[in-house]
Amino acid sequence: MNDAQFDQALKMQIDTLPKELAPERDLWAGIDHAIERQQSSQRFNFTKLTAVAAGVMVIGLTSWLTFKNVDLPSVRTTGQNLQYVNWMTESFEQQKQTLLVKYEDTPAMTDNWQEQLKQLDDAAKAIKKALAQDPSNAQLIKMLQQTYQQQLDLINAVNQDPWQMI
Amino acid sequence: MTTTPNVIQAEERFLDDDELKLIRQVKQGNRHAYQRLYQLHCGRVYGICYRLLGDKTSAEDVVQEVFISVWNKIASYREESKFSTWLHSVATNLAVSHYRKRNTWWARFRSTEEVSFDEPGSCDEHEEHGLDVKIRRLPDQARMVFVLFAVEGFRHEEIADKLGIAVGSSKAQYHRAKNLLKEWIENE
Repeated sequence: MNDAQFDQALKMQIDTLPKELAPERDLWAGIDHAIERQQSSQRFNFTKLTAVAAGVMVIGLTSWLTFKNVDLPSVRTTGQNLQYVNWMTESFEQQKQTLLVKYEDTPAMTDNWQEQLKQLDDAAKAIKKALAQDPSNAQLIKMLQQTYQQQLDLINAVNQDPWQMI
Repeated sequence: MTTTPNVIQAEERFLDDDELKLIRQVKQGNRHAYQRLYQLHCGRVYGICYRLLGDKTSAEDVVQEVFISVWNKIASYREESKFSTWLHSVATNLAVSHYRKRNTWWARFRSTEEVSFDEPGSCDEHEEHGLDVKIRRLPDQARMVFVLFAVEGFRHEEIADKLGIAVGSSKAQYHRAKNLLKEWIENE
Protein backbone atom coordinates (compact mmCIF):
# COMPACT_ATOMS: atom_id res chain seq x y z
CA MET A 1 0.00 0.00 0.00
CA ASN A 2 1.52 3.34 -1.03
CA ASP A 3 1.13 6.52 1.03
CA ALA A 4 -1.73 7.93 -1.03
CA GLN A 5 -3.70 4.68 -0.77
CA PHE A 6 -3.02 4.47 2.93
CA ASP A 7 -4.14 8.08 3.48
CA GLN A 8 -7.40 7.31 1.69
CA ALA A 9 -7.96 4.09 3.65
CA LEU A 10 -7.17 5.88 6.91
CA LYS A 11 -9.59 8.68 6.10
CA MET A 12 -12.32 6.14 5.43
CA GLN A 13 -11.66 4.46 8.76
CA ILE A 14 -11.67 7.80 10.58
CA ASP A 15 -15.03 8.62 8.99
CA THR A 16 -16.51 5.41 10.41
CA LEU A 17 -15.30 6.12 13.95
CA PRO A 18 -18.28 6.50 16.30
CA LYS A 19 -18.64 10.12 17.41
CA GLU A 20 -20.01 9.08 20.78
CA LEU A 21 -18.57 6.60 23.27
CA ALA A 22 -20.21 5.45 26.48
CA PRO A 23 -18.34 5.82 29.77
CA GLU A 24 -18.45 2.75 32.03
CA ARG A 25 -19.18 4.66 35.22
CA ASP A 26 -22.21 6.77 36.01
CA LEU A 27 -20.56 10.18 35.89
CA TRP A 28 -23.64 12.28 36.55
CA ALA A 29 -23.81 11.40 40.26
CA GLY A 30 -20.32 12.89 40.81
CA ILE A 31 -21.10 16.00 38.76
CA ASP A 32 -24.41 16.55 40.57
CA HIS A 33 -22.73 16.09 43.93
CA ALA A 34 -19.97 18.60 43.07
CA ILE A 35 -22.51 21.17 41.87
CA GLU A 36 -24.62 20.69 45.01
CA ARG A 37 -21.53 21.14 47.19
CA GLN A 38 -20.57 24.32 45.33
CA GLN A 39 -24.06 25.74 45.74
CA SER A 40 -24.10 24.95 49.47
CA SER A 41 -20.69 26.57 49.83
CA GLN A 42 -21.89 29.66 47.93
CA ARG A 43 -25.00 29.85 50.16
CA PHE A 44 -22.77 29.54 53.24
CA ASN A 45 -20.43 32.23 51.93
CA PHE A 46 -23.36 34.52 51.19
CA THR A 47 -24.67 34.04 54.75
CA LYS A 48 -21.21 34.74 56.15
CA LEU A 49 -20.85 37.82 53.95
CA THR A 50 -24.25 39.11 55.05
CA ALA A 51 -23.30 38.60 58.70
CA VAL A 52 -20.00 40.46 58.22
CA ALA A 53 -21.76 43.29 56.35
CA ALA A 54 -24.34 43.57 59.11
CA GLY A 55 -21.57 43.66 61.74
CA VAL A 56 -19.71 46.40 59.88
CA MET A 57 -22.91 48.42 59.58
CA VAL A 58 -23.62 48.13 63.32
CA ILE A 59 -20.07 49.21 64.19
CA GLY A 60 -20.23 52.08 61.68
CA LEU A 61 -23.57 53.28 62.94
CA THR A 62 -22.48 53.08 66.58
CA SER A 63 -19.28 55.02 65.80
CA TRP A 64 -21.19 57.67 63.89
CA LEU A 65 -23.74 58.11 66.68
CA THR A 66 -20.94 58.30 69.27
CA PHE A 67 -18.67 60.76 67.50
CA LYS A 68 -20.98 62.87 65.37
CA ASN A 69 -21.39 65.54 68.07
CA VAL A 70 -17.66 65.78 68.81
CA ASP A 71 -16.62 66.74 65.30
CA LEU A 72 -19.47 69.03 64.48
CA PRO A 73 -19.32 72.11 66.73
CA SER A 74 -22.24 73.71 64.89
CA VAL A 75 -24.67 71.22 66.43
CA ARG A 76 -23.52 71.98 70.01
CA THR A 77 -25.44 74.37 72.15
CA THR A 78 -23.99 77.83 72.86
CA GLY A 79 -23.03 76.79 76.36
CA GLN A 80 -21.25 73.70 75.12
CA ASN A 81 -19.35 75.77 72.54
CA LEU A 82 -18.04 78.19 75.16
CA GLN A 83 -17.03 75.29 77.34
CA TYR A 84 -15.19 73.73 74.39
CA VAL A 85 -13.35 77.00 73.57
CA ASN A 86 -12.29 77.45 77.20
CA TRP A 87 -11.06 73.86 77.38
CA MET A 88 -9.13 74.30 74.11
CA THR A 89 -7.56 77.57 75.31
CA GLU A 90 -6.49 76.07 78.64
CA SER A 91 -4.96 73.08 76.92
CA PHE A 92 -3.12 75.33 74.46
CA GLU A 93 -1.75 77.60 77.20
CA GLN A 94 -0.42 74.60 79.11
CA GLN A 95 1.34 73.20 76.02
CA LYS A 96 2.73 76.63 75.10
CA GLN A 97 4.20 77.11 78.58
CA THR A 98 5.70 73.63 78.57
CA LEU A 99 7.42 74.32 75.24
CA LEU A 100 8.68 77.74 76.28
CA VAL A 101 10.22 76.23 79.43
CA LYS A 102 11.70 73.38 77.42
CA TYR A 103 13.41 75.75 74.94
CA GLU A 104 14.37 78.37 77.52
CA ASP A 105 18.13 77.76 77.15
CA THR A 106 18.09 76.80 73.47
CA PRO A 107 19.27 79.51 71.03
CA ALA A 108 16.48 80.30 68.57
CA MET A 109 17.03 79.98 64.81
CA THR A 110 15.43 83.39 64.09
CA ASP A 111 15.41 86.66 66.00
CA ASN A 112 11.87 87.76 65.34
CA TRP A 113 10.04 84.55 66.33
CA GLN A 114 8.59 86.16 69.47
CA GLU A 115 7.19 88.96 67.36
CA GLN A 116 5.56 86.34 65.05
CA LEU A 117 4.26 84.53 68.10
CA LYS A 118 2.72 87.75 69.41
CA GLN A 119 1.01 88.39 66.08
CA LEU A 120 -0.52 84.92 66.20
CA ASP A 121 -1.53 85.46 69.82
CA ASP A 122 -3.22 88.76 68.90
CA ALA A 123 -5.08 86.99 66.10
CA ALA A 124 -6.26 84.36 68.60
CA LYS A 125 -7.48 87.07 70.95
CA ALA A 126 -9.42 88.74 68.12
CA ILE A 127 -11.03 85.43 67.20
CA LYS A 128 -11.98 84.79 70.81
CA LYS A 129 -13.55 88.25 70.99
CA ALA A 130 -15.59 87.47 67.89
CA LEU A 131 -16.56 84.12 69.38
CA ALA A 132 -17.90 85.84 72.45
CA GLN A 133 -20.39 87.60 70.16
CA ASP A 134 -21.14 84.49 68.09
CA PRO A 135 -20.39 81.37 70.19
CA SER A 136 -22.01 78.90 67.77
CA ASN A 137 -19.83 79.95 64.81
CA ALA A 138 -18.01 76.75 63.81
CA GLN A 139 -15.64 78.56 61.42
CA LEU A 140 -14.35 80.85 64.18
CA ILE A 141 -13.73 77.85 66.44
CA LYS A 142 -11.80 76.17 63.65
CA MET A 143 -9.74 79.33 63.04
CA LEU A 144 -8.91 79.57 66.74
CA GLN A 145 -7.81 75.95 66.74
CA GLN A 146 -5.53 76.60 63.74
CA THR A 147 -4.03 79.75 65.28
CA TYR A 148 -3.16 77.85 68.46
CA GLN A 149 -1.59 75.05 66.44
CA GLN A 150 0.47 77.56 64.39
CA GLN A 151 1.85 79.07 67.60
CA LEU A 152 2.95 75.66 68.92
CA ASP A 153 4.48 74.76 65.53
CA LEU A 154 6.37 78.06 65.44
CA ILE A 155 7.86 77.58 68.94
CA ASN A 156 8.95 74.06 67.98
CA ALA A 157 10.37 75.06 64.61
CA VAL A 158 12.55 77.97 65.74
CA ASN A 159 13.90 76.31 68.85
CA GLN A 160 14.73 72.83 67.62
CA ASP A 161 18.35 71.71 67.29
CA PRO A 162 19.13 71.84 63.51
CA TRP A 163 21.13 68.61 63.76
CA GLN A 164 18.14 66.86 65.23
CA MET A 165 16.01 68.14 62.37
CA ILE A 166 18.33 66.41 59.90
CA MET B 1 -33.29 17.54 -6.39
CA THR B 2 -34.01 16.10 -2.97
CA THR B 3 -35.80 17.39 0.09
CA THR B 4 -33.55 15.55 2.58
CA PRO B 5 -31.30 18.51 3.48
CA ASN B 6 -34.34 20.60 4.43
CA VAL B 7 -35.68 17.81 6.64
CA ILE B 8 -32.30 17.49 8.34
CA GLN B 9 -32.03 21.26 8.76
CA ALA B 10 -35.52 21.37 10.25
CA GLU B 11 -34.65 18.56 12.67
CA GLU B 12 -31.43 20.31 13.67
CA ARG B 13 -33.31 23.56 14.15
CA PHE B 14 -35.86 21.76 16.34
CA LEU B 15 -33.08 20.18 18.40
CA ASP B 16 -31.29 23.53 18.69
CA ASP B 17 -34.46 25.24 19.91
CA ASP B 18 -35.09 22.45 22.38
CA GLU B 19 -31.52 22.64 23.55
CA LEU B 20 -31.67 26.41 23.85
CA LYS B 21 -34.63 26.08 26.20
CA LEU B 22 -32.62 23.66 28.33
CA ILE B 23 -29.62 26.00 28.34
CA ARG B 24 -31.76 28.92 29.47
CA GLN B 25 -33.19 26.79 32.26
CA VAL B 26 -29.66 25.80 33.25
CA LYS B 27 -28.69 29.47 33.36
CA GLN B 28 -31.48 29.90 35.91
CA GLY B 29 -29.84 27.18 38.03
CA ASN B 30 -32.08 24.25 37.00
CA ARG B 31 -30.11 21.07 37.70
CA HIS B 32 -32.68 18.77 36.12
CA ALA B 33 -32.32 20.64 32.84
CA TYR B 34 -28.57 20.32 33.21
CA GLN B 35 -28.86 16.58 33.68
CA ARG B 36 -30.81 16.41 30.40
CA LEU B 37 -28.13 18.50 28.69
CA TYR B 38 -25.48 16.18 30.12
CA GLN B 39 -27.31 13.14 28.78
CA LEU B 40 -27.46 14.71 25.31
CA HIS B 41 -23.74 15.47 25.17
CA CYS B 42 -21.98 13.07 27.51
CA GLY B 43 -21.17 10.46 24.85
CA ARG B 44 -19.53 12.95 22.51
CA VAL B 45 -17.55 14.64 25.28
CA TYR B 46 -16.39 11.27 26.61
CA GLY B 47 -15.39 10.27 23.05
CA ILE B 48 -13.19 13.36 22.72
CA CYS B 49 -11.58 12.86 26.13
CA TYR B 50 -11.07 9.12 25.78
CA ARG B 51 -9.42 9.40 22.37
CA LEU B 52 -7.19 12.25 23.49
CA LEU B 53 -6.11 10.77 26.81
CA GLY B 54 -6.10 7.08 25.88
CA ASP B 55 -7.42 5.77 29.19
CA LYS B 56 -10.87 5.42 30.65
CA THR B 57 -10.23 6.64 34.17
CA SER B 58 -8.63 9.92 33.09
CA ALA B 59 -11.30 10.42 30.43
CA GLU B 60 -14.09 9.91 32.97
CA ASP B 61 -12.46 12.31 35.42
CA VAL B 62 -12.09 14.96 32.73
CA VAL B 63 -15.71 14.52 31.58
CA GLN B 64 -16.82 15.30 35.13
CA GLU B 65 -14.47 18.26 35.24
CA VAL B 66 -15.89 19.49 31.91
CA PHE B 67 -19.51 19.38 33.06
CA ILE B 68 -18.72 21.00 36.42
CA SER B 69 -16.77 23.73 34.62
CA VAL B 70 -19.57 24.26 32.08
CA TRP B 71 -22.12 24.59 34.91
CA ASN B 72 -19.97 27.35 36.41
CA LYS B 73 -19.35 29.08 33.08
CA ILE B 74 -22.77 28.66 31.46
CA ALA B 75 -23.57 32.35 31.97
CA SER B 76 -20.68 33.23 29.65
CA TYR B 77 -22.16 31.13 26.81
CA ARG B 78 -23.67 33.81 24.58
CA GLU B 79 -25.78 31.56 22.32
CA GLU B 80 -24.07 33.03 19.24
CA SER B 81 -22.38 29.74 18.35
CA LYS B 82 -23.68 26.19 18.71
CA PHE B 83 -23.62 24.92 22.27
CA SER B 84 -21.92 21.71 21.15
CA THR B 85 -19.06 23.70 19.56
CA TRP B 86 -18.53 25.61 22.79
CA LEU B 87 -18.80 22.45 24.90
CA HIS B 88 -16.36 20.50 22.72
CA SER B 89 -13.89 23.34 22.91
CA VAL B 90 -14.08 23.27 26.73
CA ALA B 91 -13.67 19.47 26.66
CA THR B 92 -10.65 19.61 24.35
CA ASN B 93 -8.97 22.31 26.42
CA LEU B 94 -9.51 20.48 29.70
CA ALA B 95 -8.32 17.15 28.27
CA VAL B 96 -5.18 18.81 26.90
CA SER B 97 -4.62 20.58 30.20
CA HIS B 98 -5.05 17.26 32.04
CA TYR B 99 -2.56 15.63 29.67
CA ARG B 100 -0.02 18.43 30.14
CA LYS B 101 -0.28 18.25 33.94
CA ARG B 102 0.00 14.47 33.92
CA ASN B 103 2.83 14.50 31.45
CA THR B 104 5.12 16.60 33.60
CA TRP B 105 5.41 14.08 36.42
CA TRP B 106 3.87 10.95 34.96
CA ALA B 107 6.53 10.72 32.29
CA ARG B 108 9.12 10.12 35.01
CA PHE B 109 7.35 6.95 36.03
CA ARG B 110 6.76 5.65 32.56
CA SER B 111 9.93 4.34 30.98
CA THR B 112 8.30 3.65 27.65
CA GLU B 113 5.70 5.69 25.81
CA GLU B 114 4.25 2.65 24.10
CA VAL B 115 2.53 1.26 27.19
CA SER B 116 -1.13 2.24 27.34
CA PHE B 117 -3.24 2.45 30.49
CA ASP B 118 -5.84 -0.03 29.31
CA GLU B 119 -3.73 -2.90 28.08
CA PRO B 120 -4.63 -4.34 24.68
CA GLY B 121 -6.67 -7.45 25.11
CA SER B 122 -8.97 -6.07 27.77
CA CYS B 123 -12.57 -7.21 27.35
CA ASP B 124 -13.76 -3.83 26.01
CA GLU B 125 -11.37 -3.97 23.13
CA HIS B 126 -13.71 -6.37 21.34
CA GLU B 127 -16.42 -3.72 21.28
CA GLU B 128 -14.06 -0.93 20.26
CA HIS B 129 -13.57 0.24 16.71
CA GLY B 130 -10.39 -1.27 15.27
CA LEU B 131 -8.88 2.16 14.62
CA ASP B 132 -9.68 3.33 18.17
CA VAL B 133 -7.69 0.40 19.56
CA LYS B 134 -4.68 1.41 17.47
CA ILE B 135 -5.04 5.10 18.30
CA ARG B 136 -4.95 4.17 21.97
CA ARG B 137 -1.64 2.36 21.44
CA LEU B 138 0.03 5.46 20.00
CA PRO B 139 2.62 7.34 22.09
CA ASP B 140 0.94 10.10 24.15
CA GLN B 141 1.95 13.16 22.15
CA ALA B 142 1.54 11.48 18.76
CA ARG B 143 -1.94 10.33 19.81
CA MET B 144 -2.96 13.80 21.01
CA VAL B 145 -1.80 15.42 17.77
CA PHE B 146 -3.35 12.69 15.59
CA VAL B 147 -6.75 12.91 17.33
CA LEU B 148 -6.80 16.71 17.29
CA PHE B 149 -5.75 16.93 13.64
CA ALA B 150 -7.30 13.91 11.91
CA VAL B 151 -10.37 13.25 14.06
CA GLU B 152 -11.33 16.63 15.56
CA GLY B 153 -10.20 18.75 12.62
CA PHE B 154 -7.90 21.25 14.32
CA ARG B 155 -5.09 22.94 12.36
CA HIS B 156 -1.46 22.31 13.29
CA GLU B 157 -1.12 25.94 14.43
CA GLU B 158 -4.02 25.48 16.86
CA ILE B 159 -2.64 22.14 18.07
CA ALA B 160 0.80 23.62 18.63
CA ASP B 161 -0.79 26.42 20.64
CA LYS B 162 -2.88 24.04 22.76
CA LEU B 163 -0.04 21.62 23.46
CA GLY B 164 2.65 24.26 23.86
CA ILE B 165 4.83 22.83 21.11
CA ALA B 166 6.19 24.14 17.81
CA VAL B 167 4.06 23.83 14.67
CA GLY B 168 6.84 21.69 13.16
CA SER B 169 6.68 19.33 16.15
CA SER B 170 2.95 18.97 15.70
CA LYS B 171 3.42 18.02 12.05
CA ALA B 172 6.24 15.62 12.94
CA GLN B 173 4.12 13.92 15.63
CA TYR B 174 1.26 13.54 13.16
CA HIS B 175 3.52 11.81 10.65
CA ARG B 176 4.93 9.63 13.39
CA ALA B 177 1.40 8.57 14.36
CA LYS B 178 0.45 7.92 10.76
CA ASN B 179 3.56 5.79 10.14
CA LEU B 180 2.91 3.71 13.25
CA LEU B 181 -0.73 3.17 12.29
CA LYS B 182 0.34 2.18 8.77
CA GLU B 183 2.83 -0.30 10.15
CA TRP B 184 0.26 -1.86 12.51
CA ILE B 185 -2.46 -2.04 9.87
CA GLU B 186 -0.12 -3.63 7.30
CA ASN B 187 1.12 -6.21 9.82
CA GLU B 188 -2.36 -7.26 10.87
